[in-house]
Amino acid sequence: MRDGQTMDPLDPSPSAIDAGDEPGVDEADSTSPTARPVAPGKDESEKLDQYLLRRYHLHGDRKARDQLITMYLPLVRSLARRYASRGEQFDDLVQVGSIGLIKAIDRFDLSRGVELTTYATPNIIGEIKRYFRDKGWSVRVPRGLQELNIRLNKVIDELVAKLQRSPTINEIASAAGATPEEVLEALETSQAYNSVSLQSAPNGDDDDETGLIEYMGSNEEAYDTMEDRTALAPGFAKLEPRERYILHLRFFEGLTQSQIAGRVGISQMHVSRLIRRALEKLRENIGEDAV
Amino acid sequence: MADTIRLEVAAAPSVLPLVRMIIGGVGARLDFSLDELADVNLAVEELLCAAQGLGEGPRHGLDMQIGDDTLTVAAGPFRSPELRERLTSAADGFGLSMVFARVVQSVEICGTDDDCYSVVFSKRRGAE
Repeated sequence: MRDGQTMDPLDPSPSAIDAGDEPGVDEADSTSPTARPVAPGKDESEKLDQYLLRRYHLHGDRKARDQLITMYLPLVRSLARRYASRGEQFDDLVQVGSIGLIKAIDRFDLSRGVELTTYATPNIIGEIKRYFRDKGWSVRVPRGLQELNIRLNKVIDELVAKLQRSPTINEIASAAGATPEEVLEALETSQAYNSVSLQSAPNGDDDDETGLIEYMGSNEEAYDTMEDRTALAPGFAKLEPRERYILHLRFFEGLTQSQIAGRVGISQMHVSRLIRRALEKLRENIGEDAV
Repeated sequence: MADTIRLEVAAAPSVLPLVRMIIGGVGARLDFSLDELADVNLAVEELLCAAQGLGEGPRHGLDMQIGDDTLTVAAGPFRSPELRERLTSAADGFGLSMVFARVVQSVEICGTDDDCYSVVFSKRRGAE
């Protein structure tokens, strides 16, 4: 530090860093997880983040990197918790999310002027989603088809919005830059995807963080008061309420799959899978007594 | 003149993906929408699964006639009186007849005698 200069203890400016000073901690234990100031404010946290990022990216300080990872593990755990009810172990999700965090720290661009939290969150979520995507296929599906399948979700939704009707295979193929055969194959492979779980995010690309259960919860009342309950066969009654709701929309209210998708807020492909699965469960539930 | 595609498959759930793919190709040729295609697939799948559940088999035939805007599917031969009953029963409740009523435009039982029949249904483009 230059003589006469007043320095903010949390000042992450290059002069402070170059001088070997650290915001709020001693050089000796600068990389200790406990070195972070007690309950720092948002500004202080950001300054500490920036300081550690500079230490790592400009000086190759691996301990600064380790400290950042430790500091942001609660964020990873928080994000992993959102996905913990979808059939995978919480610890596995934390591990996968940590990879996203490390990638974010390693790829962080100091010149961009964004906060690490802002940059790390989508990276962590992206890694967790990729994990689900790769684990979600019940049979081996080539990655190209998986990716086309995921792309089709968006393409179909966009076409429905644009055309105000269910698109044809040829229209989907044209919009997706694929052949009709590739589209058919990708649509078929979606049947091998396990994301039909009602716990899954509504869209195939999982952009929406709201689970289908949460979304459909708002429609429970409408379902409960429907008047044609007497028309339900015993096997139908054994389905989960939300499965009955989807079937109710299709077969009692006569909505098309696209209309159901629009009403419930999920993709047409997801509706298709849900209907198929519900009918399959019906067959299993009631054997030869119905359907 | 309408084209007809004849398909004969084992009475097993494992053939359904193949059947769906073929129906998809036929539907694409008719320029069916995704919803219409899903409906045809649902009808075929429910029919074949119900037939399998009632011991029909060991093979099922599917004749797909491609018209200008209509796909007509003839499935069979079937012998089960219960399957026939399920398809034609108008009784209250959620069953095969209700599924068919929603997803296709027409369904009929065709057979030369009481013991053996085909289920013929049609889906028309733009009907919904």
